Amino acid sequence: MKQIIKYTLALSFAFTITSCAKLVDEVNPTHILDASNAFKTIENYEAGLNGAYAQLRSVNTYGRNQSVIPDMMSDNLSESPENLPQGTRGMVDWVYAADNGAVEGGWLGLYAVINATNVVINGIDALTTPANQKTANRIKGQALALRAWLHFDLLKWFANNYERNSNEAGVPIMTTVSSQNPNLRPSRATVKEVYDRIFADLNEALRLLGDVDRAINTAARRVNIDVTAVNAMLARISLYAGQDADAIRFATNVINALPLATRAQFPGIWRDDNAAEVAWAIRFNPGEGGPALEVYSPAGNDRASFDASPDMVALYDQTNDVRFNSYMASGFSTRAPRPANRFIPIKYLGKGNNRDGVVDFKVLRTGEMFLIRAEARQRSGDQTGALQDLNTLRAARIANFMPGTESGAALTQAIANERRRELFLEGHRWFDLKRTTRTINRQNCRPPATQCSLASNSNKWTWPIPTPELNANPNMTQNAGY
Amino acid sequence: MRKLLLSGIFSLFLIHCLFAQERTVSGTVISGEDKSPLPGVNVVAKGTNVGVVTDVEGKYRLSVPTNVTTLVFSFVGFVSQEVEIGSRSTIDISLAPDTRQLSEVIVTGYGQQIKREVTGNIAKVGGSDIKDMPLPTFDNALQGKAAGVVVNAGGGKLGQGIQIRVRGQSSVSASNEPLYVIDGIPVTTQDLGSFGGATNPLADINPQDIESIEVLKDASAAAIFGSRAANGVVLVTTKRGKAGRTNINFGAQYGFSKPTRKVRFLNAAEYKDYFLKAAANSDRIDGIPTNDPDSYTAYMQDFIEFNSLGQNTDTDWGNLAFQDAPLKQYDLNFNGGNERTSFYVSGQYLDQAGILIGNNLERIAGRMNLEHKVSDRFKLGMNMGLTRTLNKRISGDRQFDNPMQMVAIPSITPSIDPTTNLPTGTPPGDISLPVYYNPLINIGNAYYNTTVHRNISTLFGQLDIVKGLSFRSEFGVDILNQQEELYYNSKTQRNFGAPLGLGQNFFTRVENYNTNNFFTFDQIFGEHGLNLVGGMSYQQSQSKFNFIEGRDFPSDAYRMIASSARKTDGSSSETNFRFLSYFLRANYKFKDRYLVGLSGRVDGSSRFGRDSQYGFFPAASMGWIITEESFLKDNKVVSFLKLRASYGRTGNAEIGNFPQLGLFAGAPYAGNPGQAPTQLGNPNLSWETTNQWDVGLDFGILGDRLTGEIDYYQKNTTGLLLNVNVPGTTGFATQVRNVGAMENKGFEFVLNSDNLVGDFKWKTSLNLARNINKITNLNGQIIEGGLNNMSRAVEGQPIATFFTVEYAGVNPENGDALWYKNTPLPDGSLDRTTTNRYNEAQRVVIGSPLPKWTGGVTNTFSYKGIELSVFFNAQLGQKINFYGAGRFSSANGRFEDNQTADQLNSWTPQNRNTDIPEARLFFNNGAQPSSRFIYDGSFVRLRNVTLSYNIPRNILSKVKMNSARVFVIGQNLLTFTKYKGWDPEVNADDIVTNIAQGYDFYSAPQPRTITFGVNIGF
Repeated sequence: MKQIIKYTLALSFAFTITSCAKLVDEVNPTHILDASNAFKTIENYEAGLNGAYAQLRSVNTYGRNQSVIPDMMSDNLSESPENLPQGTRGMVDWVYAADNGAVEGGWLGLYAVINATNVVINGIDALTTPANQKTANRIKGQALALRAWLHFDLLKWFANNYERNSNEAGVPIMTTVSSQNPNLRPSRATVKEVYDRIFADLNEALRLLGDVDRAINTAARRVNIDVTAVNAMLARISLYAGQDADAIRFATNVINALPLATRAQFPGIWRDDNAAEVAWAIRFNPGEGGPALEVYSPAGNDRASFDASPDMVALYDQTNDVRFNSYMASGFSTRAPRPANRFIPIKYLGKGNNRDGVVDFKVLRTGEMFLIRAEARQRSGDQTGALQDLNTLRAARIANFMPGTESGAALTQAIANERRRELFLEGHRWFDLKRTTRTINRQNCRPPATQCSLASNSNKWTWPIPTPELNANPNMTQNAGY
Repeated sequence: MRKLLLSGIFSLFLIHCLFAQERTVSGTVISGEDKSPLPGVNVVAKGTNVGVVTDVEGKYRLSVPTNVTTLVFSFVGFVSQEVEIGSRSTIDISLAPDTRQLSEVIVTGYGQQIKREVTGNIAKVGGSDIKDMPLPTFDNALQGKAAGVVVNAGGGKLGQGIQIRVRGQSSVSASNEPLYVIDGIPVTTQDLGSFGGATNPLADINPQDIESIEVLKDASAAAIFGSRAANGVVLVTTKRGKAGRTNINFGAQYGFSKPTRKVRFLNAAEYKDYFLKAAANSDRIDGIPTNDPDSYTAYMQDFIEFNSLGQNTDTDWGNLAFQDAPLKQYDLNFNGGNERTSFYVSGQYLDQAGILIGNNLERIAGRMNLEHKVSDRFKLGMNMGLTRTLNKRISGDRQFDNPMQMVAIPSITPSIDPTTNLPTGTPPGDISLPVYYNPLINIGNAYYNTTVHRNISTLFGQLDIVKGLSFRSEFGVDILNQQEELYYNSKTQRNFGAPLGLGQNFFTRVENYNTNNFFTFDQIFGEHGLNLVGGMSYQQSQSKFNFIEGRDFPSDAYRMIASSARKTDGSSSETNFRFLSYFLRANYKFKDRYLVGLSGRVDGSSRFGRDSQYGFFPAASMGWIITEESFLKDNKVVSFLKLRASYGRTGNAEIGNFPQLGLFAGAPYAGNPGQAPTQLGNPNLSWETTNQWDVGLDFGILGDRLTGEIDYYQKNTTGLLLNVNVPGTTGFATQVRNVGAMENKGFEFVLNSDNLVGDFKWKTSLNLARNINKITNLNGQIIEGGLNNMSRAVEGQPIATFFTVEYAGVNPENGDALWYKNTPLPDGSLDRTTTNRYNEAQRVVIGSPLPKWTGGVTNTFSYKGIELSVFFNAQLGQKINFYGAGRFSSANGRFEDNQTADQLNSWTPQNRNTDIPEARLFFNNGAQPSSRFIYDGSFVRLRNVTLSYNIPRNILSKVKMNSARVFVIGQNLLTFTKYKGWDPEVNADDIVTNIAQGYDFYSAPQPRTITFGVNIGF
């Protein structure tokens, strides 16, 4: 009997105090990865780079904020009664404050991609060998260019002044991996310091991308950043920074590498049938959203939240300008027709014959390069060159075009008008106004819009630093007026 | 014949005990309540170990040593009796049911205790409190039944996630729901819904199978569950068979539900009048003549014309959201057994319609609980519950197809399009009508069916090693298979953006395994009583999810994704967690009056960072039964008095499964695989720690006719798991860290009284609780949440405090909405002047959505077989944000939404004395986020009235029935509240989080349900 008791006691103890201490250690997520398991080969960094590009599809980046909000906030679009009240109305009416969701999202969304690029930039060197140097160049070069570009995007929203050497507040410069430095509380660098970093990164990107293992893009598929795209970035940033000679130089590089599309090719650019004159586009595949769904969502509910504004429509030669029919359509609907006086922005209708709004967002293309060069030449006194660039572009877009002869202020205005025609819904108008006239007067402004003009002294030209940022970072300072 | 056989076996068993025979006493024990024989009563010769239990006919036969003069008869639920034997050899007695609560058996973690000796705070809710309630989930029935246990059902949808708070809310970011343990197994309770509001996995439990629910509230009771007990623990024990005759019980119930309350909106005439005035007011402001074709007035005239469809109708859209909601429920159970084997087998069919159109819950549940004694020393058993639940769910509150949102459709629009005779907006009719999507189109064209198959089963064996020492091993599984099928055909295209139909199918499987292995030692040594429990527990849970979406069906007759033209989305994922725990508890009793309890648990979990994977959770408690002391022993007034105190530590580990890791997830680009950071890691992350002390007094007065408990407690939670705002420059909004502290303190009061005894009985039971929550440390940060960030967690305030601009009414001169500026003045006070510019006003604390006082009172009256129970429940002092209908439908016509009737009292030059601003079409005049729509949500509710009649046994015996009861139940019959919305018992399902509480967004009211039923026993 005693034996039995001893035996059962021992057995039950054994059952109770089994060594399963390891059990709780072994649990790891499977559809997501712990950072320590994410980067073990150089290919993993290529995936990391793709992950950075992927985040550009977010509504906080090029799925809305960078792609179409600058048009919504300007005079290019008129809000239609179809727009949901909760949506982007605050942006349209310029009533955003520091707790605005699109502003918070924009800040966070751009820095999230910057962090993804920093993971690549700071990690890849450890796995780089002479044998894979060119592969590493291809990956790291793109990451550097992207990091620079996103800092520029931040500067455009959150800095008041775009002068190259401005000592006004810019944005924090992030070059480290957040998970390794979670306690950083960066303050805002000056605009000049941000430009310094941007240009340094882009120049390094040019060097690396000039020595790669294989071509980054093909003629038909230009969804990654290559040397041409970096030149285009440098052209635009130089123009903003007032570095006209650089703007001319870099724009010329792009123009030489990537000629303007023909009028026959032009409509196909917007359906992703060809990639003529596209220096860099952000790829949207089915199920990945679209760049302009909050302007017009042709699938499903067919919601046209914004129309092309009446003065925008009036700007085109509707018969001869190939851009007009590529960008907008009278009374368009995928269901029941709309009134003919409404011009629905159909620029992002879909790939091929699709009607789903899923189509690449063209970030940089040659058309813009002609306008950059024209503007820079005009500003630096080369009126002839400026007019020539303007006429080249107009002739490429407009059938039966008779070369213009504008000069002086009229030429400046003509370049601005052409920018508006050419770059409708490509995320330019708000910033073009901000860096030039700093005035908005919406023509035919009517409900549901409640604000029709924005004065040059308004604080709304610069977005507020989001409230959570001010709460979390004592070194952060707010923009004037918020 | 069967009984004869059973008694035969019984007698054989008794022979075993026939030794040292001196003399034999025999007899029958019957129940004093209904005079039926009582099997299983312990009959013991006092002062010895000699005893037997009564057989199925209540008979016993006992050999009594000559020196024994008294027999003790005892049985759970009855008052024990001591009887002098004298010279009798036959003693028949009748045991009176024990109405006193102190001898109740209370289930504790890994054991049980007599209530009298409990030193922690445990609230027990008996099965009879839940039985027959027309509530699909038993957690809902805890409402108002236990002091300090606060239930918020959220809304009137069936089987949806509800909130249970035990002694307040102790976490900002982690779960605040208690741990549910059913028959020893921690079960899956988290929301598994893929779309719309939260699901409630407790809907898979048949409430009729529940014997008792114990809520472990203080640390000494709960600490045995360690890192998962900070929110309290709910122990559910299912019914068991009892030795004796086989009872067959059948129940049937029928009923119907209606909404408790409705809100009146403008009728068609009022709508036109109000909106044309609003348009004219806007024209005046913008200086546009009303006859200008571009005027607001012209717009509104066109709008009315277009949205009326040429009809002169007046549609009560709000009413169309509701349906007649029938309920039927059938229950059948068998229970019985003999000395060696007992069983309880049950089945249920429930079919309950919700008050919202399209909402329905159907449950088929089966259970078998078996227990078998293999020998005197070894028993084994199993409890097995199988359930199928089909919930026809409704979209979340914020979705346009939430039927409640229909109320915002202008009453000028007919619900049926006269040209198609289909609900307005159904193709081929104009789908841009009404102004918002018409949820009526969903009926027959859309579904959101959630089917759950659930198996919760436990297998156990228990070995008595030596007297007083036993070992018990339990192995449990909880397997939950859930399929959610969403289908929206072409008719619903306006809402779902799928002109040719959309189908989605989500499958979820949660496998949850648990084993408990522990020793129990229970022995009395003279005046010392010792109870020890020690052992281990291991749990692992794996969840797998997969999902597919298809679009474009050949016709509306096809509903399965196999027929869709495009498979547009699909995914699979997995998550898991593990807990490994060791626990030990000692309860010591001296002289039946001094009680000491000690417990400790070590918990390790896969959820915690590598540097803090194990935690220790101790607790201690003491009790002193003062009435056992000589100075109070025979007091005529005070029959029982116990002082108790406890202190202990528990944790909260409900923080998601991998909060500590820096994570990357797939992020493909341009058809190539990619990976991107999704979470900032924290290797130091650990549980939240709650230290709680509790002092309590249990009392019984006048022979325990009046019993009660008073408790005061304080819970200090530190190391709050917070999604701490990190600078967005990191690319992350937050990181999970252990920072911050919060406290909950309060008191609880319970009183049970037998006001009248005798033939006419009147009992009252009352509970009352006050909890004060305060965040004491958040490292200075403010965490905002809720719509327009109107809620926040901030130091010095209760969690979820409403923080927004303060509405100051209307400028009587011009009808502008006004706000208090509330900007700080140099002297520290706030500027109380008003402004009509919203942006000039500062946000201030407006109030808390947490109730200050909660409680319930039940009065039960019975006379012979008739019983009436009346249960009131109250929650007082909480604020509700009437956000949805407020900001869009009590909103001066800022959109075309129909408006609440109170807007008729808006400012006009003739009606200057009002707090409703002037109506202005497309202008926002006062509907900005502010205190204007934050109302007092206090309510008292006649939660339940039950009237029942037990048909007397003498009538029943003629028809071979054992028992029969007919009853009528009314649930939520009356509500007393000043709240303007549908229902103050609200938490909009799409919005609710720990910080965003008390939002009403067109949320459905609670149902008022009336059911009629019978229970018949054979």
